[in-house]
Amino acid sequence: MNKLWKILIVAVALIPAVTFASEGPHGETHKEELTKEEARANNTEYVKHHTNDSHDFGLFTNEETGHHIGFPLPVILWEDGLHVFMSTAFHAEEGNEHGVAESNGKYFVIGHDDGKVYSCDEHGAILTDVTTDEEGVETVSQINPIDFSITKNVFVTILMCIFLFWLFRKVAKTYASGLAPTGAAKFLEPIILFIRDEIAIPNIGNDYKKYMNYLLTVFFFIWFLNLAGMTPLGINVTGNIAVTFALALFTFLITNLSAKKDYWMHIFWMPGVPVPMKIMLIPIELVGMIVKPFALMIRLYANMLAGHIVLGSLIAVVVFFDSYFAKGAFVGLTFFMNIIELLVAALQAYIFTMLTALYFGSAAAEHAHEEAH
Amino acid sequence: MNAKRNKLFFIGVPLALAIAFSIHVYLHSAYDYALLGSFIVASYLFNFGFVIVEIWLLNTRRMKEGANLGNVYLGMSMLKFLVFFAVFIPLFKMDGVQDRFEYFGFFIPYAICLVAGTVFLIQVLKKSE
Repeated sequence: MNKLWKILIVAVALIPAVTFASEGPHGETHKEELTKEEARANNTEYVKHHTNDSHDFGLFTNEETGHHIGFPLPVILWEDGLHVFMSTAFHAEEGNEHGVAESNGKYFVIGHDDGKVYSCDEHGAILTDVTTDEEGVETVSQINPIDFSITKNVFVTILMCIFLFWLFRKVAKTYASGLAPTGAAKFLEPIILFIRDEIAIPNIGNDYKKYMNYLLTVFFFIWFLNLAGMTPLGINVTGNIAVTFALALFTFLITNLSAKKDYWMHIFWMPGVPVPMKIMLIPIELVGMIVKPFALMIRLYANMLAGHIVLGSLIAVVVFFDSYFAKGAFVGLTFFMNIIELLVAALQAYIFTMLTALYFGSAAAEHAHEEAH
Repeated sequence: MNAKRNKLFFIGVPLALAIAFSIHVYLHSAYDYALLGSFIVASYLFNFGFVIVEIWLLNTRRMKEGANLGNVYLGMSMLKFLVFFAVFIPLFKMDGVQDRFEYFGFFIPYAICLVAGTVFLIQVLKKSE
């Protein structure tokens, strides 16, 4: 079993080597054919491909034909009615060089820079809306429909929810036959106990049980999504601010809806503080209420996105250099950074969970106050 | 229900708003601005109505435990912002100009009612200890 874990760790750490061994971003095999600007643009495109969301799930690219291999995902749009089709409709082909998808008389195309869906004409020219303000300044904006598509990030999130549900159902069932854990429970039990004993109980106190469901869910959800992002499939769910915003919003809502009277007292009329100071602190505490979950959102998003960009850039740099000494050095650096990112994946999940427990604790606390706090 | 506290607020808040409104109208006349222009009547009535509803909500029996008081206060504040941006801003922009009279026309009653609402919330929180 120990041997198996060692092999698994080395295999995961060597994932960037597989990526660089495919001869660089977009299958460019002959670096000498590219100028430095073209190589830089290629590298940027490679990093963006691995960090941005997309409407289909690309697994890898055939270097010879440039053909992306993967599977399409449903595109669900709302513009003067519902439009549902698969993302294969956006693929450029003979007779449809711009990748224009038609649905119920409307035309849509994917923007090259941001990967978002825009409304266009039948030739692929994106439709624009010109507005003029009171000072006569014109603003041109591209028209985009409301997008409810199952994108790569949404698909992976749904998959992860199903996986977590299946895994923890399996773990729960093993306890039906006895208290000694078996299988996956052997690995997960110490982690669950750690979250209970080192995060929930010290921060929340006696009422910790009602928050355990959320704390365990958020920890494993973030950790497993972070680990999924370490694969070369270009998954970057927690590096998407919409996802971290949703998690921070849940934390904010649970904190405030389960808050006791003492929590609001500490915000509006904090005990043990002189009155002029209390008046000054009220707006600061109110802003702090919003800033704390906001910081949760930004911290997770920035750490994961930055990690992906750094790893992607290091891999691209391996291809960029001619010298094998430089290539070797950067392969070593990429390997090292991959190990660090594995640590960061768990660490960010721990930090998010710990701070969430801290906020729950401050909301759920009830204690008698003296004038000096 | 603390009758003395409620009486203080139900008399004090309209009195404060009435004094502010008088000063406001006087300043309009001093600057040769339309006396009841920039929707000040609507602004004062809106803010007054909101704070009355807020005080009533904070006062109702189920709020007395203190746990939901902050949520009510924040919810009402959020609703006030929504109405301001959805109703008042378009009204101010109707003539194509948004001047400081319109800004202060809403801000002054808003500030008075904000202070009144916050003080009332603090009183209820302290009382429910």
